[in-house]
Amino acid sequence: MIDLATLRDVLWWTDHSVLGYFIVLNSFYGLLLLMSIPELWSHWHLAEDEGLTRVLGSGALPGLSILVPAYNEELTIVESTRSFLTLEYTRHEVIVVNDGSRDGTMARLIEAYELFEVPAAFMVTVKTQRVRGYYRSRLYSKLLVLDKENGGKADALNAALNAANHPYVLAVDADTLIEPDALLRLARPFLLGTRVAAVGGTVRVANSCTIENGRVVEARIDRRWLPGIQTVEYLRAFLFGRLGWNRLGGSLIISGAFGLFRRDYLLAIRGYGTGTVSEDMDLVVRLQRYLRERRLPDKTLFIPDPVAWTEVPASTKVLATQRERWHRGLVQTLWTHRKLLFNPRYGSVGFVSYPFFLFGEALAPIIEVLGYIALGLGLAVGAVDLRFAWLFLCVAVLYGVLLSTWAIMLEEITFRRYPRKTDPLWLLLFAFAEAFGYRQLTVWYRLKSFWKVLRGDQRWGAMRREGFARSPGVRVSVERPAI
Amino acid sequence: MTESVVLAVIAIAQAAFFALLVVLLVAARARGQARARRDAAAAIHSAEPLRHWLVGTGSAIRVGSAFRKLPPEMAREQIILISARVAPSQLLELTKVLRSESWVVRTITRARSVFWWRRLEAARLLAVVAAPRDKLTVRRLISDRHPAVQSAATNCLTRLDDEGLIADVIDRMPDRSQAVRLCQAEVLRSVWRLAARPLLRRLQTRATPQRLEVWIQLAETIGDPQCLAAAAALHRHPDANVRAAVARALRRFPHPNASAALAERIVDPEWRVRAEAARSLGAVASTDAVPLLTRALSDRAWNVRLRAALALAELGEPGRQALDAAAKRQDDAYARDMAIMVGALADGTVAELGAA
Repeated sequence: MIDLATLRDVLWWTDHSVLGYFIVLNSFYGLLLLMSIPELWSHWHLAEDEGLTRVLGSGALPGLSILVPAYNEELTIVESTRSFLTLEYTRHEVIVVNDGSRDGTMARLIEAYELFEVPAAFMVTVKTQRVRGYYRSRLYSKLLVLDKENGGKADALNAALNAANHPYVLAVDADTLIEPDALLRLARPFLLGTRVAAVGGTVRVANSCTIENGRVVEARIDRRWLPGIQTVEYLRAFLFGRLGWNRLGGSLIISGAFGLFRRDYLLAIRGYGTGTVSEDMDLVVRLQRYLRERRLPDKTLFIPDPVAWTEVPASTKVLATQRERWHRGLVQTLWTHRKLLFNPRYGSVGFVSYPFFLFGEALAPIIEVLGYIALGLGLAVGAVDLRFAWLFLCVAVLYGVLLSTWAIMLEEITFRRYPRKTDPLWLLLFAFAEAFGYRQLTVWYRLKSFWKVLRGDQRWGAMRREGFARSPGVRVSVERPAI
Repeated sequence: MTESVVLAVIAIAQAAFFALLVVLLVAARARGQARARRDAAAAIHSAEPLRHWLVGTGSAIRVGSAFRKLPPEMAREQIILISARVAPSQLLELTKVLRSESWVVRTITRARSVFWWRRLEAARLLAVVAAPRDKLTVRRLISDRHPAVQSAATNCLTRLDDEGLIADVIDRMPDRSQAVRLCQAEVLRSVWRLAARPLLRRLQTRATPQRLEVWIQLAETIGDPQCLAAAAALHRHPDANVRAAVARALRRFPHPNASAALAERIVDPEWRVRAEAARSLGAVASTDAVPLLTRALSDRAWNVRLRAALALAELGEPGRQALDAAAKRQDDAYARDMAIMVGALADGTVAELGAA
């Protein structure tokens, strides 16, 4: 039996350890924030330079293949494919992969783009499920459609990767809306002579935005609490979270919905991993390993001005599925690549990025829940006083709010995508609201993912979304089968 | 109690910082809106003299004094915008007036700034108002370490007509990033009379393959026949990249020498050279190339077969007939598949693919 004094000691130490962890973690976020300022400033000036933009719009752009995996997307596939085909870029092709859809995705594509079957003339570097046919369009030379047997998103991306004809590939989700000039902006580091292996752009929340012909014509903040909080969350994650990593050795995440990669490197690492639920993070980690093991100087970068819009979950059920899967993918990827941890061979990735993602992201929900429990018990047995508990909570909440407010501030002085007078106030409100309920909810979802990891669960789960209100009443399902 | 005091201090600091951020946020939004209103009013103020000057009923001096009342960054953007839309002689009149304006002098002084975006501002303005006395500043900006400044400064070449400066740019081009090279090539095309001579000299001298490749690409952009003839003479160069650049550049040179060089290059050991040669044979639209391109349909490289089929499709009736015949061939499945695929494409799609 543990006596009360020992329990008090344990709880006291637990509370203070959690407090220490929390201060170190948030200070690191503060460091990311500081690192992001010069980066943001520099990219903002480049983005504003019309002369450079004109150059980027010319014929010397590197060829780029857009990879679009599609599964049961018959409602949106024609429109989203058209929006990819009409992007402002002179040398790009669009490769749509029908990943064994059970609906009319393929039929819609054949009809809308007058597809005709062509002989398979591509080197299969990465093994995939059988491709049933390759199709070209009589109307758009830039379009190639692959019809293959179902193998999951990563498998579909690998099939597209094999068929890609250009040196750079951009993986997008079929339901992502890319801004017309986003490709030009994404290509900027390649053209400015920086040795880059991969570039990620900003993903913003499209819920409630006005969308016409597959383009966001007016950015609005969704006033509902779940999408609203996620708007702040995305701003924080992209405007300084990922930007700050540019100066700290490179992030381990480039969004699967919007990331540009050198094709030869992806082929060298055998494409997307099919045994994971977060193929985007797994890919970037393997790419970082590949670069470091061969001492290649290429970087993975994030640049803030190319924008893609995505729909975020508007219900707790969908949010739960998404966050649980994201965290499961994070844990799996970190476990698979545990060799990186504090390994000098991998430089800043081994000593900064990986430890941050392990201790600051993957283990964070466990430590946070431990903190809540220890604080409650500590109060109950008198190990901590009430004043300490209140101050602890106050500091914790304010840290998060401050980081979010800073992200809102960065948005306001640079890109200012939300034009209405009240928009900053709504964002501030959501920054506060995040700490009460939403944060605890996502901690719970992330905590549940550990159980699924232990069970070896590889399912994506159902992801039902509302759709971009292109057609009122239409609901877009992006349900995926098990891999 | 110590930890509670530390936490209390942190909380107070956080609250103060948060309050400051909120104030800054509100101020930034208010300032942005006030600025937008001010800029709109200033634009209206300058619009009238500008309109008169553009239609030839007003003086440049009045435009200069109207610009003086604008915020400098707005005046700079306005003059850059106008420069692309008026005749050079008319622009010259305005830039003579503006060159001595204090805001212009101040902006140009930023060419020495430690911040690259300030140097960029100077370079962009100089691209419109540069005078012979600015040559040294322009030379420094062209050699700037930031690619955006290099690109912007290159635009000054159109105002200075200086062969020495142009030769300098051509010499440094191979060391520049792709975007800067492209921008410089576009500018050099607009001053091709001054650029052709130094380029020709460089194409005729011994240089590394990397430099030759860039200069051949420049010859292709400029389109000067003498430079392209010099490039054609390099079609047997030992380096495959140089040969590929020559094969590509010759699509702009419909000359018997070019066709002869391309006929040799379509059987080059390197597939990239063969593919470029096939593309160029289609672009120079020589029907004599039909047998060569028909043979290339059986090439072992898919890209060469595709380029040959597209080139045939672009050659009009004789090329289409050759494609139809290839589509019925039983002895070569590769040639047949490619001929069927390209033969099924619409004319617009063929042109789009051919240009890609």
